[in-house]
Amino acid sequence: MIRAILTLLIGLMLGFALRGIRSDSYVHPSSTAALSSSETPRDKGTSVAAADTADLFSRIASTLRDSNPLAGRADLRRALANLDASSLQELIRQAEKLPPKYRNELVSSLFERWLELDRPGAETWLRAAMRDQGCFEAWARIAPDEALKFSVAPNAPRWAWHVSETALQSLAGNDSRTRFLTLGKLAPSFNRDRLLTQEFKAWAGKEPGAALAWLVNLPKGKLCDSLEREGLVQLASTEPDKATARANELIPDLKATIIGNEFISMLTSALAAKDSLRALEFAQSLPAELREQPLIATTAAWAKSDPLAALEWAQANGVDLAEVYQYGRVSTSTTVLLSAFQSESSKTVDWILALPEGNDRGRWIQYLMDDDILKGDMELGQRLFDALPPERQRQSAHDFGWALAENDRLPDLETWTRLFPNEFVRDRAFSAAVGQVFDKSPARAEAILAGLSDGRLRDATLAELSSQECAASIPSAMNHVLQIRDDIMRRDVMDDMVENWLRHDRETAIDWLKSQENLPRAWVQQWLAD
Amino acid sequence: MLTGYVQGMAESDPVAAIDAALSCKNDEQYILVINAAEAAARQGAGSAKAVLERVAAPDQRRFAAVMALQILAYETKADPFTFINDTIGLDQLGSVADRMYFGLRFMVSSHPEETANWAAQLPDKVRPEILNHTLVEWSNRDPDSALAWITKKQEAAETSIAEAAQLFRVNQLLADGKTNEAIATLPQVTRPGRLVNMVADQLARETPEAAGQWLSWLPESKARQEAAERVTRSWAESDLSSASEWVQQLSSGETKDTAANTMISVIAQRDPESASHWIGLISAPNQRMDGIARVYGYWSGRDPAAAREWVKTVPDVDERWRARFLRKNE
Repeated sequence: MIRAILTLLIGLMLGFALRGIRSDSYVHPSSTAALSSSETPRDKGTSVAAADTADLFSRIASTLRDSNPLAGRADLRRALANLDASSLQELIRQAEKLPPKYRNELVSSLFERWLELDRPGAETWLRAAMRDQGCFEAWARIAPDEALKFSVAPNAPRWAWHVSETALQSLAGNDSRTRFLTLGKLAPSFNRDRLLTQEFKAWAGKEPGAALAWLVNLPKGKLCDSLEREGLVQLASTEPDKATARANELIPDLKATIIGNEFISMLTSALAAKDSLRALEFAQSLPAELREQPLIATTAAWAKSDPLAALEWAQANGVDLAEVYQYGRVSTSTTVLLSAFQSESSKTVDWILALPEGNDRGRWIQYLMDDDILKGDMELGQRLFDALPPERQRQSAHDFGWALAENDRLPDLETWTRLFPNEFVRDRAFSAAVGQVFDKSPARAEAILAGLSDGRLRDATLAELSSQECAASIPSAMNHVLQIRDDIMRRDVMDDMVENWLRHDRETAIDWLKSQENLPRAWVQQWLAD
Repeated sequence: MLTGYVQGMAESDPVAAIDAALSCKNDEQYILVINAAEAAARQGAGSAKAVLERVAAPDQRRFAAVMALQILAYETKADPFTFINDTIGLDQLGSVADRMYFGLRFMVSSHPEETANWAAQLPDKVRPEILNHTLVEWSNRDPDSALAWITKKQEAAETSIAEAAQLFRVNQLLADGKTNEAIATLPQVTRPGRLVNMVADQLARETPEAAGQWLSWLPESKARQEAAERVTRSWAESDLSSASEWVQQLSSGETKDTAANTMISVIAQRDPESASHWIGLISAPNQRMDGIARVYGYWSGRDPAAAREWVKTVPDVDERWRARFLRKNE
C-alpha cells in the first residue's frame, strides 16, 4: 500500500497524468513501477534480461500516458531499446491483457522490437493467430513483400487493407505508377481490387494516357470497366477530345439512373473545370436521360467566370438555378445560383430580384437566404426576405428570425414591427429569435418572455421555448406549453409533444398525464388511445 | 458557461458535474450529461454507476450509460457485461442496441469470445441485434476465429445463434463474390440487425431482383421492413422503374408501407408531385402521415401553394391531423 502511494506521488511529481486503466481488481502498471520512465535500466547499469518480467512490464507500461504522449513515446523507445528477445513474447502476452487504448500501441511497439531482434521468432508468433493491426503494420515496414501477400489474400480481414498501404509505401514509396504495377501483379481479391482502384486513380491523375493504356493487361469485366471510366475522367483534363470520343462510344451501353449516369456526370464536370463552354457543348449533345446533371455542372462552372450570362442561359434552357449537382450517391452543394453568387453577389441578387414575379423567382430568392450563403449578412437577408411572396415569407420567417438573433443581435419590439409588418410573420420570426436566445441563455429568454403581454406573440414564443426545452426535459417544456392561452395552439403543441413523449418514454408520460388535473380528460383519453 | 464548468468539474467530481449538467435547461444538457458520465467512467464502473443513478429520464440514462460503456471498454479493465446489466438492463438493451457500436467494438477487441457468448445468451428480443454487431466486429478483426466460434455453436446445435450464423455465412459468400451460392442459401429471418442489413445492402447492389425475391417470401417482420427500406432505396437509385414495379406488387402490409415511403424519399426531392402518388399505396395511418409530411417538405420548397392544396385533398387522412398539419405549416 505504502509502495503504491509512494509510486503515485513520484508519478505526480514527475507530472504524469496517467489515468484510466481501472477496475476493482486491476492495478495500473505504473503503480508497481519503481523507476521513473527517464531512468532506463542502462542508466542504472542493470541487465534487462535479469530483471523480473513483471517489473519490466510495469516499467514499459508506465511510459503510456494521457498527458504529453510524445514524451511518453520517447520514453517507450528508450525502454524498448534495452530489451532482449527472450523477454518479448512474455511482455507481449501481458500487454495483450491491457485495455484497447493502451494495448494497441504497446503490443505493436514490443512486436516491432521483437522483429528487429529475432525476426523468425516474431513472424512465427505473428502467423500463429490473428494479432493486432499494429503488429501487421510493423511487419509491413520490415517485410513488405510478405505483408502485402498476406493483406490481399482472399480471406484477409478487411482492415488488412491498411497493412497493404504500409507495405506499398515500403516497396514503392509515393510513386503511384510503381505502386499500381506492384498490385497489378497480385491475384484479385477484395482488398487488392480496392487498393488497385485507389492507386489507379492516383496514377491516372498524373499520367492518364499511360494508366489507361495499361488496362489491356487486365481481364475484361467490372473492375476493368470501372478503372477505364476513372481514367477517362482524369483524361478529360488533359486530352478532352480523346476522353469525350471514348465516352461517346461507351454511352449506348451506359445505364441511366434517376440522376443520370455517374461516369458521364463526373466526366463532364472534369471537362467543365478546364473549359466550361466546351463542356457545355458536350453536355448538350448527351441523350436526354444523361443530360440534366452535366448541364448543372457545366453551367455552374461557367457561372464562375460569367455569372449573368450563365444565369440567363440556364433560365432560358430549363436548367434549374437552385438544383444541386449530384453524381452517383454524392450530392454536392454546387448550384448555378451559388456559383454566380460567389462570383458576383450583388449582380446576382439584382438579377434575381429583377425577374418577373413567379414561383421560381420566389424559390431562388429563398434559396439565397440559406445561412451558408448569407453568412451573417442580415442586411442582404432582409432585402431578400422583403422580396419574397407572402407564403414564402411565412415559410422563411422562423429561420430568418433565428438568424437575426445570432451573435446576440436581438432587435427591440419596435424594430420587429417595422421589419415584419405582417403580424403572423412577425410572431414566427420573433419567437424563433427568442428560441435562439434560449439556446444560449435560457435565463435571458425567460426574461424576454416575462416582458411579453398575453397574446399571439407570447403564445408563439411559449410554443418555441417548449420545443427547445423538450430535448432536455419534457415536463419543464410542458410548463411553458400549459401557459399558452390560445386553446388551438396549446392543443397542437401538446399533441406533438405528448405523442413524441409516449413513443419514447410511455410510462413517465402516462404518469405525468394522470397527474395533470387541469387537462381536459378527452384530450388525455385521445392521446392514450392513439 | 455551464459547459466549461461541467467539463472542468467532470474530471475531479463527476457527481457534482452531473448535477450541474442536469440543471441545464436547453438541449446542451444531453452533451453535458454524457461528458459527466464519460468522466466518471474513467474513474471506474462504480463511479459511472453512481453518476448514472442521478439521471432520472430513462432514455437519457441509458444513452449516457452507452457512452460510459465505450470509455470503460476502451480505457479500463472493468467488467462491461455487469456494467450493462446494472445500468441499462438486459430487458432494455433493445432501446440502445443501435448505439452500442463502439462499446461492442471495444468489448470484442478485448474479449471476443466472451462477448459473443454473452450476446448469444441475451433475451430473444435483443439478442439478434447485439449478436449481429458482435459477429460483424469479430469478423472484421479476426474472420477465422469468428467463423470457428459459429461452427462450434452450430455443431452444438445452439438454436439461439442459428439465424445469425446463417446470415453470417451468406454475408461471407456475398463478400467473396459467390452471389449465386449466397442466393441459394438465403435464410428466413425475422429479427432485424446489422447482418440482415449487410446482406440486404450487398444483395441490392449485386442483384436487386434477387433481393426483392428474398424479401417477398420473408414473413412480415421488423427485419423485413428494414431490409426492404435498404433494398428499395438502392434499387430505386439505380433502376427506378424496376424498383417501382417491385414495390407495387408487394402485398399490403408494413413492408409495402415502408417500401412506398422509401420510394417517396428517393423521388420527392426531384419530383414531389410524382412522389405524392405513392401515398396511395400506404395503408398504415402513421406511415401515411410520415409520407405526406415528407412529400410536403420537398413540394412546399418548390411550390408552397400547390403543396398545400395537395395536403388539403389527399384522401384517407385523419382530419384532426390534417388540420393541425396545415396550421403548423401555414
